[in-house]
Amino acid sequence: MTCGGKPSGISASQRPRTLSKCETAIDPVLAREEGRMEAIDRGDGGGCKEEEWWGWLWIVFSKLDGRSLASCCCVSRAWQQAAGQEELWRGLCAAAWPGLALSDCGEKAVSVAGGYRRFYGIRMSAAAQLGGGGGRSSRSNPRLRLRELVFFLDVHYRDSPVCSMARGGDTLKRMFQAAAAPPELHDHLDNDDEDQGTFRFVVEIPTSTGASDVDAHQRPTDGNVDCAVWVGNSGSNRWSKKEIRDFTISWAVMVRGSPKVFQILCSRQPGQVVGNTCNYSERLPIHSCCCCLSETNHVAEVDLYFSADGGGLFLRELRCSILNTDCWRYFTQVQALQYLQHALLHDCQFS
Amino acid sequence: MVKVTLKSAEGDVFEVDEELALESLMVKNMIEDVGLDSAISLPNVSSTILAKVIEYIKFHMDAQKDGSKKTSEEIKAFDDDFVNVGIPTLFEMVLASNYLNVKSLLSLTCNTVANMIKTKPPAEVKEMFTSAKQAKA
Repeated sequence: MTCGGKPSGISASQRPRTLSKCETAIDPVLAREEGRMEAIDRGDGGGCKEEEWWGWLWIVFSKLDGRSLASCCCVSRAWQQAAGQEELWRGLCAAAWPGLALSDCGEKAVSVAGGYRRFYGIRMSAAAQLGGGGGRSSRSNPRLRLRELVFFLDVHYRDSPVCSMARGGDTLKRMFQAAAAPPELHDHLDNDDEDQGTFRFVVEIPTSTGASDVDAHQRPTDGNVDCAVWVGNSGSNRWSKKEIRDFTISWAVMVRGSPKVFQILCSRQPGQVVGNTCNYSERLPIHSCCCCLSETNHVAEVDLYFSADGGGLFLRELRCSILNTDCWRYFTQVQALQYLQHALLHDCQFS
Repeated sequence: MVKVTLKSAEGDVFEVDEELALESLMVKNMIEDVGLDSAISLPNVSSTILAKVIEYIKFHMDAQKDGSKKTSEEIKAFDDDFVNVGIPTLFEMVLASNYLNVKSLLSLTCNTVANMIKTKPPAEVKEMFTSAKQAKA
């Protein structure tokens, strides 16, 4: 078999002899089949010269990319055979991986896979696993949207709740925008493009005179319900530097319309105090369905920001984010949504 | 200039330059076999389609001549406009260029069909082809 840098044998400039050979290869079985399908479709006999039909359709198929050709296989049974022909897929394989057919082991791998069509499919989906190649588009566009998520944030001090909230919808978006300030550093947020920017948000804790009297079972009657934060009674709102290390943080997420909860962070170790901030972070789990490793390089982080006032520390803000510790950058919202989509909807693209 | 007479399916007669007719490998073979004396019958090609094919070949032959001032943009614009027809006509042109064996036109029309398929889900592709076949039949 000859194999140059181009798909062999199926270019538009192929010689008429080759074309007629192709015709006879697909004919007459397909012609009969297609004729039958057509007859079913419209309730009468075929009306087209089938030989011509398949002859030129072959040329059209040879100009398609893998995704479109695979899509053509779904048109009808006759098309499945016509568009599923090895010769077409061999051309696609040769175009994608010119070195494949040069060696015996390459050819052998193809035959083990069950032919060029199968080989193309499994290699493309393998490439998609890493977020490259043919799978890039689907990986970079998570179905999950930020506004569909509901985050649950709960801070406890030795089993007694300090503050607690559930946030979702448009409120979430505002929380993300607040984290992106100052705006000159995040000018990409100026556009309305949703789910862009870093995955990082800020929750402000109201001062003790504000919502502190809110009963846990009673929703506030005034103000924006979506922004409500439950804050423990005002007496325990003043903390020492020693105490703030011993909070436990729980950060969980649900997607609207699905009963599954994913725990992003559940602090197991004391926080690290830096100035007026206490940092709690844990590694995110890897989805066990597609990897045997136990930990990722992804870290969920919640910073508690305190203000010092009159000898005590007052909890002012929760700053939540997910980081990639390989490069020490925040996740983008798209990356975070991909991860959460997998976790919440169990939408495993890899299995 | 030697003229070649082509006869369409309807029996309409087209008189074209030999140089132009030779662009079709099928006609070229016919001329080699039977000579120029009698009209060359093309029972698979309708008059409208044959006229289109001749128009296409003529334009491209003119464009390739030395004195031609046509830019590649103009040629592309002509091609785009040329295939900007209904699907049944487009399919007939594919069949005609396949039958007449005009490589460049076959490539152009097949590319157009391929691009139509590329953006469509299977159901729409099926719909497209079924309706085109119905129109033809």
